[in-house]
Amino acid sequence: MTVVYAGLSTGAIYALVAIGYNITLVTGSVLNFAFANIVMLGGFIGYWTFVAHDWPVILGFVAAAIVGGAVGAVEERIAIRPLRGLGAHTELITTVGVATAITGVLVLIWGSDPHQVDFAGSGDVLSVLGGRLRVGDLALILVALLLATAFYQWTRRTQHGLASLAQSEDREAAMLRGVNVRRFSLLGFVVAGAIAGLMGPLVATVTTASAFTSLVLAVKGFIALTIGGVGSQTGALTGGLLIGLAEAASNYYLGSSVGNVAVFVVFLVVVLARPDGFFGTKLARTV
Amino acid sequence: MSRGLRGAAVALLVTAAAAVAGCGNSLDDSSSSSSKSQSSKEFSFVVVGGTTGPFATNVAQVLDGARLATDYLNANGGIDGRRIKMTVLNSQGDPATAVSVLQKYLAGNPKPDAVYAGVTSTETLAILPMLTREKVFSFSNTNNPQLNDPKKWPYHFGGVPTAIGQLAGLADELKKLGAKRLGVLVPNDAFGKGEAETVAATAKEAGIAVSTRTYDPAAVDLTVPYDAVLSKKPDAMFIDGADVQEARVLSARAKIGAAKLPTFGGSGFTTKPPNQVAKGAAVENLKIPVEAGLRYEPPSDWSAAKAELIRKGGFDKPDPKYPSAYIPAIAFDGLRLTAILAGKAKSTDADALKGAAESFTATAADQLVTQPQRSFSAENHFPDTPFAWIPAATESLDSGMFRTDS
Repeated sequence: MTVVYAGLSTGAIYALVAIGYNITLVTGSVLNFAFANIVMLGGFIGYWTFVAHDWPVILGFVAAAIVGGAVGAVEERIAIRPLRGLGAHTELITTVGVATAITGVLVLIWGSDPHQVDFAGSGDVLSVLGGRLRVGDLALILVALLLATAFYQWTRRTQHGLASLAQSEDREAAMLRGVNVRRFSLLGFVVAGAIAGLMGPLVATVTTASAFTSLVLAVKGFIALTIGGVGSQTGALTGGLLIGLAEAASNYYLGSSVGNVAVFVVFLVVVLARPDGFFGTKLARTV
Repeated sequence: MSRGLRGAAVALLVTAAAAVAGCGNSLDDSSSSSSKSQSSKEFSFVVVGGTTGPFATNVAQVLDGARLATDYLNANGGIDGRRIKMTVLNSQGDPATAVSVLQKYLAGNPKPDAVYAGVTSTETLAILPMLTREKVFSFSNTNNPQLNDPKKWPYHFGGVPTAIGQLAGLADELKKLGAKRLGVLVPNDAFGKGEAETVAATAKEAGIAVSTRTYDPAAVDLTVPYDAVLSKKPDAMFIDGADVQEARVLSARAKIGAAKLPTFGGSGFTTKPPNQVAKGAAVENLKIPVEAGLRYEPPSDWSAAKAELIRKGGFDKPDPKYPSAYIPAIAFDGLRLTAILAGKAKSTDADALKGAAESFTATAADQLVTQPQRSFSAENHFPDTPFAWIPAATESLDSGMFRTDS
């Protein structure tokens, strides 16, 4: 069972990244490749506040969310808005640039060494059904479930959520119907950034706060997004947990060299069998 | 113009072009040989390492140690009467980039007199073919046993024992415990593979069975591979990992509840003490190998060179830049040893340095901080004084040196 819990907790991290991708995809039609880097930034803020400087934990989380949201806002204004409508996925490319810049800043400020992040018993170990997991691992799984559910409900049951879905399907039509797409895009990046910052200290209890971990999370988060279906929060959660479990099981039974291979095998099989992912929506097209 | 005349004109043009190019080349050769003769007034020392990237902290320590040695030697006449000029090539911690930057440097500059060949075994293995081809003397802190192959890498000398040398005392420790089976958990890279092979050979000689598991160096959680090794019911564990891997493997150890199992850390745990990376159960019942030359001794026992390293490096200050003097000391000693060998050989030619090294045995007068009794031979280019094993939980650092407060 320890293997299952380990798979679920790393899968929850991948799912969180995929959910973050979905937020900016739905609100601004942009895959924000810098999301995982903002998560790591949040981890470092958590380390600096409540580990290194004894701030109250809740303040550390709030600070991480504020910084993450601010970075998201700056990213949208500088790297996304000027490139709208240029096509050729230029926004995706600039988010890769933003990701690199954030990593550089993290190294400049905190160096390349990893930093342990623990708070309020997050490192305490629980024995559940014959397996062991940390309180932080359990929190990650629950938060991923909560976030996916909350964002799903928002897009399906609120006016703003439905408007976001509309702009992600047809931006021009949404504009014609009076949807302020620019505001949604900015809001999406701010909310995604704030969520990334908020998750950062929790994720760092598993990964440590380390500037170079973002790339692994970004790639696996993208795989989770694709497997689950782009735009679907249920899919993001399912995809993340599935690849976390696949990775853990293959690492345990077949060895470390197979773990990453197993993830990509699952990715290939799903994409070949269901190109839109498990929960992706097929779009009708008039021919 | 007739065809024949046209052909002759083309041939003439081609010949003239070749002649001009040849003149240009020879001009370049003469200018480069004049720049070679200019730079031969300086001893060129090149450090290849990732000043950016995941090993940047280790490389910064190497550079600090190398700069201290450069200043120390330049203040005392340099190497073979030549002032040392240090150049740093940023490999970004990637072996392919290390090869590329070194290739670019060699194509545009005179051959260096000595090279610090990377800070990871994968980097060193990647660039040694080029350094050997160019006959460049090199040394490093990397310890994969494959590097100690004088036939293949005749000009490379180790600054630390190979994993075999470092872990030579492990078999005795395991015998004291009465261990019958050893679990091994190391990263799936050149460094980890070298450690795994060494530990397996050491344990086998002691009649101890080994269960080995490697982990992906980039994996964010190491609980699963740790659990997999423990499923083989070992009596003791050997774990290793550098930088972020150290933190993650210790975290997994605490999570799995493996603190009761006697555990030995590898050389990756010597750059940053485990009790500064993790606390509590993660470091209980854990021993780490420590360079004998860096066991704590009071200032009154320091040699002049050691005092230079510790004081100028700031290790005796309340809040030193780095907790341990180990990595800076390797670079410090490496360059100083190069100077000693050049003095013995009365030359800085790579073959002369090699010859001097292969008949070298250190004495107290050499004042080497690490491996103070090291010697080399034609069959062995790495020092081989085994490391001492000390408990990680009670280990502390004083003036950059390891002490046990037990």
